[in-house]
Amino acid sequence: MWLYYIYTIVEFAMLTAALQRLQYQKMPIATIGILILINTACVIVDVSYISGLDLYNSFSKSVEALLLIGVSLYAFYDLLKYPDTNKFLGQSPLFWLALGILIYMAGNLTLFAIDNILYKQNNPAYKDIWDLHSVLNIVFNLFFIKTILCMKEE
Amino acid sequence: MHEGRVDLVAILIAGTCGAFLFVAAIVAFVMQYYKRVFIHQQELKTKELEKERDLLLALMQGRENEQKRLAEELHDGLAVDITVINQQLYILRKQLGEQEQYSAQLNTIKEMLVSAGENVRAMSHNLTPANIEKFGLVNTLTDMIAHINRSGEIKAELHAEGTPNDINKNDQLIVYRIIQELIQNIHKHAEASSLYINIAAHNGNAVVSVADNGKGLPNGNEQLNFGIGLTNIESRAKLLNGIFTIMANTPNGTIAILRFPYKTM
Repeated sequence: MWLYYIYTIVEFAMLTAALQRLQYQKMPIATIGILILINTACVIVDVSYISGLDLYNSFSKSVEALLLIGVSLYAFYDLLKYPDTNKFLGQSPLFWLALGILIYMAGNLTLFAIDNILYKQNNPAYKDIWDLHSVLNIVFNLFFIKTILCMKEE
Repeated sequence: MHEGRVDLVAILIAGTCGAFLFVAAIVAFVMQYYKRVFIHQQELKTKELEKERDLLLALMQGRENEQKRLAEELHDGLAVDITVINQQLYILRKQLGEQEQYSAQLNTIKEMLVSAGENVRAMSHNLTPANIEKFGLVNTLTDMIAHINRSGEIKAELHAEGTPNDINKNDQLIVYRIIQELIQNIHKHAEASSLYINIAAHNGNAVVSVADNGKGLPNGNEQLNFGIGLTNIESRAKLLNGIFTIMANTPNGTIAILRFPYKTM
């Protein structure tokens, strides 16, 4: 289970860095550093006091999702404030990456938040609802591929 | 307990649906806004291009008028003066009779005057492409080619395909000036023994190429840095909404190609 915690820290850092790299008016490094620190602190609190190593890292995953929703919304704001009129929106790698992250994180936020409660209740729907996560994960990966293709075109 | 379970799943579904609605709303807003900005920027760009084109056109027309005025002054002023001087020389020769000591000098002066008169007429001719209005691009270029061939310095050929004379007169004049500039460049720099002009105009698209067999581009570069002459050509090509390229010709020399869309008269 500890791998989930490490993955949460690495995933957040990588996705935030990728979004920042593609922005026109880049988010300050200090802000990104603070966000990574907040996320890491939440992971530590989660593993130490809330979920522990026996349960899914529901709390830290939810915080990561909320933070990434914020960062991707900032990416959309950047797209609107500095539109590149030489290309269509669909040709922008930032658009696809931010959209993929937003769909994945916003779609899964409730799932992340109530996962441990459902597990503790032995809810019969527990396994089924993770299928939703799988579908959103596929969507996110498809959008990630589109991002790479757009970057290649550039 | 059971109700609590149902509630949680319901919350999950509601949360996920809400998230999707939220994402959809954001994406719709971003796309709509981006589209509006994109269209607005494209309109601004088009307006700027049109403005630039109008300015270039006005500049070119001003230059054409100035050249025309200069050509008229050369033809009606200097050329006439030379003819009058020539006549005075003829009278002077008659008055001096058959005096050997002046004959050689008078002959030299006469030859110089004839040469000067021809040069002035040639300059005047180069400055006024009056034939474009009357006879069209192809005939005017044929006339120019004949003039080049008569000079004997370089062998020139012209090939026309389609309907180049259907291109509107203003654009024909621009094409003529571009070809004239290219030929001048070949004369000055290429050390070529022959040049070949090809004009093709079909269905609203024209391609003009001027090729020579000279020494080619400097340092064997495929693309040439644009000097003043070539920058003028670029500006004129812009007026035609055309694309101008110059590159190495095979086996030697250079080839300049101008592609542009045209409207018929």
